Amino acid sequence: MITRSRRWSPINLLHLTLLFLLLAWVVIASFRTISNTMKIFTEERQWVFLTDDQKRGKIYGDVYSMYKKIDGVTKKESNILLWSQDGKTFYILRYLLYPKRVYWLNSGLHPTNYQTEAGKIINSSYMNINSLTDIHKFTSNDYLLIYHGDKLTNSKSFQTVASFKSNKTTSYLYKLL
Amino acid sequence: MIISMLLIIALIDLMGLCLIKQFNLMPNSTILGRISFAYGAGIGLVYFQMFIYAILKISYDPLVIVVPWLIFIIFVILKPNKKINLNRLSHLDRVSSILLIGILLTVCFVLFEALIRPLSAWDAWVTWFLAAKDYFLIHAIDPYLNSYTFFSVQPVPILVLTFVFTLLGQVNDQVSLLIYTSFYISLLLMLYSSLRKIASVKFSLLFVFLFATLGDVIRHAGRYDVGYIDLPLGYFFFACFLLLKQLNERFSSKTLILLNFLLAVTALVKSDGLPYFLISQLIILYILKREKKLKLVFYTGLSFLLVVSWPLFLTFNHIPQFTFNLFSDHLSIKSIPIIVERIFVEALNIQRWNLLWPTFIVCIIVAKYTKTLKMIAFILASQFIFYCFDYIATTMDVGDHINGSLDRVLLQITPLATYFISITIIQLIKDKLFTKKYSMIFRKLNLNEKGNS
Repeated sequence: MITRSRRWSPINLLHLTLLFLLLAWVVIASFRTISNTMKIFTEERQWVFLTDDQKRGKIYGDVYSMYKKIDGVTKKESNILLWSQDGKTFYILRYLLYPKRVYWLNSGLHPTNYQTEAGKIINSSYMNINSLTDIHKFTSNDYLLIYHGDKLTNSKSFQTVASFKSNKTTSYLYKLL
Repeated sequence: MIISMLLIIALIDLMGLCLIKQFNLMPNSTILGRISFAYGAGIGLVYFQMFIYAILKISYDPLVIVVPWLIFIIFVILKPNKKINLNRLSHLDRVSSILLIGILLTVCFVLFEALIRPLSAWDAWVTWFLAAKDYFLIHAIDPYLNSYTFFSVQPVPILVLTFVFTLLGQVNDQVSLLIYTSFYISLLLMLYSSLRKIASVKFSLLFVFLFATLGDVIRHAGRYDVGYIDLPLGYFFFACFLLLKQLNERFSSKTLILLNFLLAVTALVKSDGLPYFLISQLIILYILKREKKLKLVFYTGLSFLLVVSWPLFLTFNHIPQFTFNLFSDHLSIKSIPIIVERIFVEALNIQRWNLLWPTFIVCIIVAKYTKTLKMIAFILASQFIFYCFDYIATTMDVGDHINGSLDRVLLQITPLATYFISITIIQLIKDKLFTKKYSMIFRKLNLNEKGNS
């Protein structure tokens, strides 16, 4: 006959715990399956009726509409200089616009002279855009995108191509002259 | 486009199946087992084909890529067939049917999630898909890409995507995501066929169901809002472990060849696969010594050669390699409490893991360590030490580093952990005292019937 102390021995408790965990796991997994199946007909259903552009707009945000515009106005060999505060904008545009090249001006990630140098210039003063183009020999095929930033004022160095309004801020696309 | 993608996946699977069949690499395996391994083998073949084409400066052209495989497949199919063990789908009782329905519903959900959204993961924009887009556009490995993008990653995901884009004839970053979902489906088949060797249909289906419905597994197999390559790495870890286990139990040089091939692919999928590659090679060396077949270390050498071929290719072609300086020159021992705390919190994240990790921890304590369990424990412990070292030596803020990666590194070892749990439960079921104590449950579920071998 199993005594009370043997019944509650550590190994018995562990076995009991294991059984409990396994049963609870099965219950959770079953609920998850039901909930996932329901999602197809509820919260995920909205995606079914969206066009590809609408889906990408939803995922990428205002960057996607900017991409469409930039892709339309730029040439295959154009470079796009991007000023943005977050890396996400840069990486999405770099991927979407490829083989057009996108350079993130204020990136601290890549230890190349021109980027850190350009970053400093563009951060310290937008007015120095002339110096930027001089240093890096960007051509008149190239563009500058100020993402959620202030409008540039030096009209001799660039020409405004488009502006994009989102919630509270505006982004500007310039063609370098 | 979806149909074209499905045909490409079928082609990859067929390539792997024909490789296995032609060289009789899995003589005792069932057809389900072969199919599950065939996908990984096919992915490996695709990678090496694209890599050899790059070395030989052969342009990535759909016909040039696909014709050699079609010839190979026709040649293998026309050869007389040896009898293959078919998994006879025995009559399923009510519980098994419910489990199977649960698995199928989850697979449908994952496929739905995979097809419903375009590319949405950070890693994809930054690395894999950008590089594949570039290689597709220039029909070769672009030596100048790294100096523009400033990243260097392992090549398998990129070259496999390039293969897919080339055959599709366009950069379609939505349907090509099915490449990753196929790893999930192959993993489920692999788990089932490996469990079926030692357990009943019901028990095998139960654990496939438990694995298939893990939140993080579903997320990586279908939603693709994070990572891309950790579930495939988990697939290769598990496939290599099963071959190691087979090699340990019943030595065969054919198993050794397939294992070394898949290990090389594992190391080339993601850098996290490199320590796994080394650990597995150590175990192989131990087995070879025990079997007095040290001459076969030649295959290990070949496997090493395949792994180093990529960095050699980069060096010879003057392709710059960039790695973010993730390791500092000193170990931050004071980070250990933070690491332990975060791991503990992550393990209890039911949303991602259901009750996998708490169950696993209890299993570690109650398991009777057979050869197989010792091997899993050794592999898991080694990988875990590597991950912890990564966090201790990181140059990033340790909290941020863990938050951004812990669920993904755990995902890599999830199939192995699930297998460990299932073996422990099988041990307990076979323990008569245990089953007697909880006879009510086991009588109801009838889990303790034997497997098919």
